[in-house]
Amino acid sequence: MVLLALSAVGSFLVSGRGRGVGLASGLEFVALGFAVGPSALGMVDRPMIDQFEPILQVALAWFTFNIGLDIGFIGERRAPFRVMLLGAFSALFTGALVFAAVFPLALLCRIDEPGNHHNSVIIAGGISAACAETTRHVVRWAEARHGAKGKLTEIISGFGSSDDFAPILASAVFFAMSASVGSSVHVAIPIWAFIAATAVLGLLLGGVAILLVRNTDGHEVWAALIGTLLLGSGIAARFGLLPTGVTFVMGITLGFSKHRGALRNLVRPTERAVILPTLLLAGTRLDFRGVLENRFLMVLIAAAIGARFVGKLASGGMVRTLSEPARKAGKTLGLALVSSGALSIAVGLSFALRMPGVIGDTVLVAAVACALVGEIIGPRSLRVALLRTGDIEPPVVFTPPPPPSSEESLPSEPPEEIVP
Amino acid sequence: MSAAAHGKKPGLLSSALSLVIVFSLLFVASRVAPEYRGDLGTIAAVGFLLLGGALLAEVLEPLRMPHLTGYLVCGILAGPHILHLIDHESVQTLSKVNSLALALIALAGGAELRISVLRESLRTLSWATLIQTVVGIVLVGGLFFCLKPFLPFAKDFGIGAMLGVSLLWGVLATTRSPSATLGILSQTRAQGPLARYALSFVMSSDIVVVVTLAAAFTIAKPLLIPGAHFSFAAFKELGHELLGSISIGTTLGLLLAAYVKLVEKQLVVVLLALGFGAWEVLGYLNFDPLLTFMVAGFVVQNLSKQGDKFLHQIEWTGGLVYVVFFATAGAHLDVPLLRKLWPVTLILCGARALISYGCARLASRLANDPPSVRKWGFAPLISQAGLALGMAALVEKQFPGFGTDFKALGIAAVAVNEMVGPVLFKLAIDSAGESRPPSSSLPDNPEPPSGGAPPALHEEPPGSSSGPASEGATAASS
Repeated sequence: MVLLALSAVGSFLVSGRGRGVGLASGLEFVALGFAVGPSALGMVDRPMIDQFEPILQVALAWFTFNIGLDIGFIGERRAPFRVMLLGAFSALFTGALVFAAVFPLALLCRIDEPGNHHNSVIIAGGISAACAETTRHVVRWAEARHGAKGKLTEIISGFGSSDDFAPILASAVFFAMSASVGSSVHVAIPIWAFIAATAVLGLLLGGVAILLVRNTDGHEVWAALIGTLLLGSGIAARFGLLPTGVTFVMGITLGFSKHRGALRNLVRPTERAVILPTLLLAGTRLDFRGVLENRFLMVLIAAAIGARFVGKLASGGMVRTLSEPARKAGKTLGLALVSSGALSIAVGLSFALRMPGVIGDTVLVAAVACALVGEIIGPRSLRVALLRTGDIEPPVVFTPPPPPSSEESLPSEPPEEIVP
Repeated sequence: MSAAAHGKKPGLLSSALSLVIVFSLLFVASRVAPEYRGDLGTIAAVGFLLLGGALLAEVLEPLRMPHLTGYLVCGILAGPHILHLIDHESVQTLSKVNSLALALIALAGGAELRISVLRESLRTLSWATLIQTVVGIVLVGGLFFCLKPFLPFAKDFGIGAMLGVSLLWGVLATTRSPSATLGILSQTRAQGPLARYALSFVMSSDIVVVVTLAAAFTIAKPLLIPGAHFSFAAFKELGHELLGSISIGTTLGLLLAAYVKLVEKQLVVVLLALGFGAWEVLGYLNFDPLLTFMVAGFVVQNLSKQGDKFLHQIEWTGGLVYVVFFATAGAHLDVPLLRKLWPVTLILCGARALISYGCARLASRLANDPPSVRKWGFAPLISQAGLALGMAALVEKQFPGFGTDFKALGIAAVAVNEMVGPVLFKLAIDSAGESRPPSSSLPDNPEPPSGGAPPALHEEPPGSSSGPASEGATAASS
């Protein structure tokens, strides 16, 4: 009952109608979760959080399904191919940079068994997956709060919606490398086969969902979507695959169907209702003990943030080089791309759920740290960049007219002052 | 998912193909990783039952089979006794959904009962209840008494004890299945005298059965337990239970009506909380949750203006829950037990059906019912489900000596009636011409909504409403 009451409260919390209110990354929900969780106030204890695990798994699967459905789209339109390519490359590049920075440091953290670097690879891989993306919510936030509209807004929107595949692909790779954890399949299967199986399962179930939603209405569409999603997640877990990877591919498959628009309209209202409680629960799972006990892990997280900065600044440079409208934005564009959020934290949470302990906890902490730094820098930089390109109207400040002298009549229009 | 109703043949083929894929996927998974016991295993089972049930229902639709037969068959096939795609543990875990499903069924059942309709069919209901209860118990109980030589657990019983057991079986035979009735009515969207009769009779029969059961226990106890005396204590308890349930149901109904009127949003969460939480609490406090929720639904419909809105939301939520509920019921079905008891079970079920038919004809004639009710009035009375199983479990608890065998026979009979009843009722609804065609399907290329980009993390989507139901309705109607 307590859990249901919490869910109800969560639902009410996320059903506010404020446009652009709150943080772009949704970190306030993570903070709230952390505050009530066992690491802070202890209002929610560990066993209760563990009871939520299946719900969390399904929520993550639903979230990545939504991402898959949206990937490469700006609203209802496909993003330009060049922007998609740029987004994907940027995420891969940033992820690779983060891995390169973190892996050598991970070797110093003494988290491996002698003569085996598996844990270091997984922790570096998890952090690189969590630090690769630019959240698509930052541009939506700018649209909602500042009424951003224009070429650069579209570019960043397309960029943000196209780079999501990299963190999920990376997660699939590193989950495949630890496929034996939590799975009952003990057959030596190469990594590529695991990734291929993830894709094939997603494609198959996506295909089934397409066949099902063709002639359905009402709750039957939901039955088809929820059914395929749950089945996909469950089977993926059984084989040790990445459940969110399967549902992501499902989403992409459905995105190619002619029903995408209708499905998108159908699932759109659920997005916030799923993400924000998920972030809240991610906050309850945040555990800094491992990081505090092993100071090298802190250095590792700092290195990840630094490498992410470099990657995103370089990505901003690439965008400015390749896109005329982005040039006016200047160097702040790279900083604008530093924003991360729900997907990063979802990746961190996936690792925390699959690999509880120092690996999972560190990846989740790194994801939240990246989102925090991104939140401080990203939205402000984005606003500046969008102001420069004219995507955001400069605010108009009313200056009161001087008091009219007795000879003068009142001016017909008050003078305006533009504040850059 | 009524492809046939849309006149599109590929719908059936694609459903069959999807069904094969879904079954194959879980089959391979359960064979390659058989020892998996995680929560996601149960989640996969829910997904499979949702998909497999819906797909099998669609594949069976050209045979004019009801959807819930598809759900049941899917559960039976995938369950632990046949293909073993879903293990016992998952089936037990999934049984938690029963309370939610039953709560929704009771709420919907109560909300479907309108005072005006009840007033119109008061004569019909009175005759049907009287005859089905009195004549039904006497005849079915009498037959059970005659079958004594074929019942291993009753071989050593004296006449008194046999009369007591027969009385209990007679009462068990008068239980109906509100879930099956609502399931068929929801699928066929039926409207007409037969649908109204089925709904009002089956829903009100629940209350009658609860009272009759208390009476039967009071009478049977001295016959079956040596040294036990006739006592009216059971009626006192029953009075508390019934009055308490009605009072709580009325309060709950008023609260729900106020919620729908003032808040409206997130009704699904409230329904989930009621189904999973309040159901258990009511049971723990010795109230009848089914009656409580039925009264609550009745109050929302008849004492407020929120009935239709409320009913729509329940139907939407229930649509998904029923699939899992019936498919889980199928997976629960004890196939080996049915195999063992089938001859006597068939006789008892056949006789019950015939007696229900005769009683329905007689009651209809006395009440001067419309022709469709006269002809098909027996059809909704064949299905049995949760209530009968609950009663069998209660007999097992009260009479440990023979209760286990009695329960096994009860389960076997419910299994047969659960399979045959819905098919018969669907046939009756179709033959009476009360089914209505389904609504339109998902649009192919909807116009993009104005506003372009999807909403931000904290932004309410443009034009979004309280829940997925209205979105679904929007998508369907556009």
